[in-house]
Order: sequence, then structure tokens, then C-alpha cells
Amino acid sequence: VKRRDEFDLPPELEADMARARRLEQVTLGVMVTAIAAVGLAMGSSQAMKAAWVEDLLALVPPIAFLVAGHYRHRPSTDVFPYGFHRSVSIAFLAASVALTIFGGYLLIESATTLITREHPTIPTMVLFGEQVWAGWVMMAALVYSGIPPLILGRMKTGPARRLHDKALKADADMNRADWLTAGAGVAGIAGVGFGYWWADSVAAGIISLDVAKDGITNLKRCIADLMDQRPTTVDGRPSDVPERVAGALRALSWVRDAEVRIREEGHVFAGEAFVVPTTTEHAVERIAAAARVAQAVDWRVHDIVVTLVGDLDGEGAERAPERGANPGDR
Amino acid sequence: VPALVALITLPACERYPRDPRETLAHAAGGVLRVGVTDAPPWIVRTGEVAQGPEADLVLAFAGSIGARVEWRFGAAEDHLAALERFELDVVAAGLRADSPWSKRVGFTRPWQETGDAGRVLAVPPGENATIVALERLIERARAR
Repeated sequence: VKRRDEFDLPPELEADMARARRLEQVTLGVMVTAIAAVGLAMGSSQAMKAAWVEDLLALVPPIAFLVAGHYRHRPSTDVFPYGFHRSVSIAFLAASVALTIFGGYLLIESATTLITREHPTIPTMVLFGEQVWAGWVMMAALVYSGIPPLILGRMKTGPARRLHDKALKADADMNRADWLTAGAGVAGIAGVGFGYWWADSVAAGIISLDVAKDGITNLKRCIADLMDQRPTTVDGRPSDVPERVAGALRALSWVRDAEVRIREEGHVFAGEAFVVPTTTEHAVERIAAAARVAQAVDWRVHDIVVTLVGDLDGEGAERAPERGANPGDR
Repeated sequence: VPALVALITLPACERYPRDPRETLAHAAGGVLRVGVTDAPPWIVRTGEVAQGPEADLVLAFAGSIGARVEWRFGAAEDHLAALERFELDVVAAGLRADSPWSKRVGFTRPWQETGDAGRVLAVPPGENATIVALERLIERARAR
């Protein structure tokens, strides 16, 4: 089996990578304490439960990022000749499915609570010898669980863009959803305190809509990536890398025209380049040089297979038989 | 954060949390409708009134809000169903903290620890001013 070359991150991005890894480790550590705090304060509040499960789910992206980090740069093997770059996409497919299902479940549950007009009972708690309304403790726990994702999410966005890491970007999005959830939860419990029994389920409903939206957005992106959609940026806009690769190939003196077909594998790009040469002299050396040119366009371009073709819209140098007769029948 | 700490330690917040259905405000200075079921040794019917430690607790609560107790005797299930419909203010029936009704009405913290589960009073669902007032009384009674 012809294995792929190993992929090396450009040295100037190593610092971003180390920072991303550290941010994810901090996220894991802090979120575990937030989960404990919210879990202990959680009573019969729907919004609180919503926020808690969202905190739990917020562990999935950092774990996925760190686990995938172990695999993504492994050299390809005879069994996996394309390498392990897609591990990131697979982890995120699983995470976004979980998000979507959870959002839907929560939406149904809070709607049911509203329809059956269930009034949440929030009693008192004895904390450090002081008897307080448990609503205060819940709000304090939610505020505590909301602050770290607010800060960490913002810190992750920069490295995610530079590293072209959609897993990291999705985690930053998840952190945003997380602190919004905490805020909505605080509003819901405060509302219950003012005698609006429905405030809690309404808050939970709004949270679940946001969670479901996050899940579906991420799910769409994951599926698009796994369907070998053309490369996009971490923000979901089309990337200009395919055009730049084609442009670089067309600029070669022996190339009459060139076109590419590029897909994303995790955070790297791979695909084929179809080159119409003016001459087939030194074809082997020129193909190798063209592949190097293509990969020099951007650090993300990892594996480009260059093929010589006669023209870009037909079947190449050997003209195919006239259309109408089905070639498969011959 | 200092504001939050101030809010948590502010016991003077008498009007917060509030009752969505104003159970406490209606009972204060008026009538406290209490559903009672015989549950010795906690509460038993004696003539037209209830007696026992649970009855004393209810009377102390009524006294603290200036209300007169109206004892209503009957089956615990009927009382709890009426409580859920806001037709009673308190149910005193030697209820256990692990009763499945805890999901449908408001259970106080245990006023009496027992070997298995604590004993609780029940209030209408979501009436948070009522449950807070009653639980403060329970804590004071237990501290004594």
C-alpha cells in the first residue's frame, strides 16, 4: 500500500496548538467543578436541569478534541492508508448528534411542563448554618457555571481560526451556548421567585431551542464535511484554497490549464489536481514538482495527487467514444 | 459577587420569593385550611381538632402568620389531590419524605427525622413563599 506522507503543523502554529490543548484541559477541569456545583444546587427546576445537562454535554467537545489530538497526526498505516485526520470529524458527528437529540428532548419536556401547568416548588436550604431560599443557591451555582465558558469560549476562537480546527470552533460555539444557558436559567429562577411559575419552563424552552439549533448547525457541517463538500472556513464560508491551488498550477510554464477537486479531512485538505500539459516531456518530474507547488499554497493542503489530462471537460487524451452508445454495454 | 452575597445573606427579603397563587397572603390574618389524616404518633384526631407534634407545628405556623386553623379530616390521597388543586393550604398526615407525591405538591424539609425517611408537611405546588415560611419555622422548632 502506498501510504501518505506524514503531516507536520507549521512551526508558527505549534504555539496555537499547545494553547488550544491547554485551553481544553482547563475547560475540562473547570466544567467538572461547575457540573458538581449545579448538580448539588439543582432541585425541581427545569431550567437548572437544562443548564446542568448542557454543562455535561459541554465536556464532549473538549474530550473529543483531546482524544482526536492523539490520533490526528498519527502516520498512515497499511490498514488506514489515508491517515487519521478524519478522527476529528467523526468525534464531532457524535457530539452534534447528542446535542440535537438533547435539545429536542428538553424542548418536549419543558413544553409538557408548561401545558400541564406544573408549578416548580423551590424550598429552602441550609448553607453554612444559614437557612436560605434554594433559588439563591441555584442562581449562584448557575452564575459560577456560566463565567468560565464565557471567558474560555472567547479565548478559543482565535486559535480555532488560525489552526483551521472546526472541532475547536464548535467547542467555542458550545461555550457560548453554555453561558447563555446559565443566564437564561438565572432569569427563570428569578422569575419563579417573583411568582411567575412559568418563567422556569419558558427559560428551559428557550435554552433547548438554542441547544437544538447548535446541534443541527454542527450536524449539517459535519455531514457536509464527511460528504466531501468543498473546503469551508471554520465560520462556514467557502474557502479560497481550491482556487489558489488551481491558480498556482496554471502559473506553471508547462501547464495549459488546471482544475482541482479538493475535500476536507479534519483540519487538512486533500484531493486531486487535473493538469492539461503543453508537453509530456519530463512528465514524472513535472508531476512531482506540481504536487509540491500545490502543497506550498497553504499549510492545510496536505495530499494532492496530480494527474495529466488531455482536456478538462472530456475524458482526457484518449477521446471517449461518442455519447449515445452506453460504454458499459461494450 | 458582593451584591450576590448581600442578597443571599439578606434575611429581610420577606416578599421574595413570592407565591404564584398567594397561599401565604390569603392565609395570613385569615384561615389556614389544613388537611389532616390520622397518623399516630405524629397526628391524631381528637374531637374536632388535631393533636400530636405535627399538629403543634401547624398551630405554631398558623400563629406565626396570625391565622386561624381550619382542620379538615379525610383520606391522605384526597387531601393531596385537593392540595394540588390549591383547595387546601397544608396537608398534615405523617407524610414520608420519599412519598411519590413529592413530585406533584411541595414537600417541606423533614420536621422529624425517622429511621427510614423523614416526616414532612405538604404545601401546594410552587407556593414558594409558603414553603420558605414553613421551613423557617421547622428549622427554628428543630433548633430548640
